[in-house]
Amino acid sequence: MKYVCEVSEIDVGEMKSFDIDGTRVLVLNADGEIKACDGICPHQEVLLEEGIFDGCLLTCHSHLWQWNVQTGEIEQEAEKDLKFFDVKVDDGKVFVIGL
Amino acid sequence: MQVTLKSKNHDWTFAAHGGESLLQAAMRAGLHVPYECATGTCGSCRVDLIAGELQDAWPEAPGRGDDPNARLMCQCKAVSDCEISAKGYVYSTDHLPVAADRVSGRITDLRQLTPDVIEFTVTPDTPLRYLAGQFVTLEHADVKGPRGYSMTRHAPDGSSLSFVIKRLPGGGWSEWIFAKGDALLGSVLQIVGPFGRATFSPDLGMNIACIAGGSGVAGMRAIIERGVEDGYFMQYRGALFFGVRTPKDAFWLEELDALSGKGGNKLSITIAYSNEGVDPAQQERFPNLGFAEGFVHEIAAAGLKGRFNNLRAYLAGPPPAVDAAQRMLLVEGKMSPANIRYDKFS
Ligand SMILES: Cc1cc2nc3c(=O)[nH]c(=O)nc-3n(C[C@H](O)[C@H](O)[C@H](O)COP(=O)(O)OP(=O)(O)OC[C@H]3O[C@@H](n4cnc5c(N)ncnc54)[C@H](O)[C@@H]3O)c2cc1C
Ligand code: FES
Ligand code: FES
Repeated sequence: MKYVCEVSEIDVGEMKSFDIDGTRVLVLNADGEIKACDGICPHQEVLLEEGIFDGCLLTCHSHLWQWNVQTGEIEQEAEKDLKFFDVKVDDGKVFVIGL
Repeated sequence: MQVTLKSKNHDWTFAAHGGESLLQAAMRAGLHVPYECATGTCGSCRVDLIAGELQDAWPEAPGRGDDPNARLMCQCKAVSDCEISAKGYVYSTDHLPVAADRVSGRITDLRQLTPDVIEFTVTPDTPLRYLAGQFVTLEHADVKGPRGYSMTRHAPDGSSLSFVIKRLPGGGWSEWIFAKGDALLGSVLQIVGPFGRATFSPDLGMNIACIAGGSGVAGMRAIIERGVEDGYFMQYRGALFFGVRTPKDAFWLEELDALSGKGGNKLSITIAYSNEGVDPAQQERFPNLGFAEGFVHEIAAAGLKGRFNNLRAYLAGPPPAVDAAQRMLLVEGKMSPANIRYDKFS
């Protein structure tokens, strides 16, 4: 379990990426629920932080692959799953499991 | 030569001639393989070479990445039977595939539209049919490598291909065409195409919005012309947003004004100026056009407000302009990526 950031750093509907021991982790606030996934698009080496997050759907800006952050499933166009991590929130701190 | 293409869902086999890229060969076989630029930049057509020999036109192409097994279908030709694998899904189409041919042609017309935009026409030796919104790649002996350019007119018989080119400081093709100018009349070019999936056909049955940054308006004019020809905008809404920096950078105002006048009530054409205010003289001279100050994606957001349903969007131009428009359509319009077709001019 690795500490990533404070919950307060990520407003509802926002996302931010962090470098944790050489891995890019994207932390998203989906309607108050904190989620975390791979920060790099599984298509080409593009930062997902530069993409679009509407609070539920995360879209890579490069070729519009899209995942549902609430369910962790592919939503549109994407040919590959996005890796989601288990998240633990404790005392306002975000931890990611299985990095 | 036989090419075997393994994909996530199916293994395909198709024939490839020595003169054509793997992309052309796959398209001729009716396969819907991924590609965007057809010129080695975007990396969408990347496959792994498993067996056999390929000839690579541009081994340093940026789209190829660092993987030593990676090859670009748009850059490679088969030299022997070979086996390649694509990372994603590849389906076949039941529509009549429009094969990408290689033909030669001559520059038959050329005129400068603004200080950094030239319009030119190429007459191919054999007609090259294409759909509104498509592009071809052009090659000339003087410049290394092909470049993609969108056809600006709806011309069903393919007997003449018109383009606009924006001057890119230091750019190989564009600086060359600007330097030579009229001296290029009669010059022979190699044309490969058509390519591109940002196409429009009136059986679409949806409202359409075209958002163009600069020379991105090229294929949009063809799309709007195609719709006007069928009276499409009597039933469906059509909106073209054409963004340039200042009133001096705008071109085709006369042609777009006429198109808008002819197109019917449901067609609107708006010119957006990002760096300067609207010129009242232009507004007076072109009553069928709208003019606005702001970035084209912002002007489009205002114009499309409440109208994102049953909408197909077409975007083209420099990558930052296309990215901004995509973001707007996804966030403000809540549109599905499937209804956003785009060409990034990279
Ligand atoms: C689908 C699509 C449609 C386009 N339509 C238009 C249009 O209608 N009007 C317009 O003005 N521009 C259009 N462009 C952009 C155009 O293709 C050129 O990128 C642009 O004109 C700049 O070219 P340049 O040679 O001046 O610049 P450069 O910087 O010299 O080249 C630009 C691109 O050409 C490719 N290239 C460079 N060297 C080689 C080589 N040795 N072999 C192969 N490829 C090479 C690279 O992909 C590079 O990014 C389009 C691009 C795409 C992808
Ligand atoms: S790089 Fe993310 S969708 Fe292509
Ligand atoms: S690199 Fe081949 S289609 Fe873009």
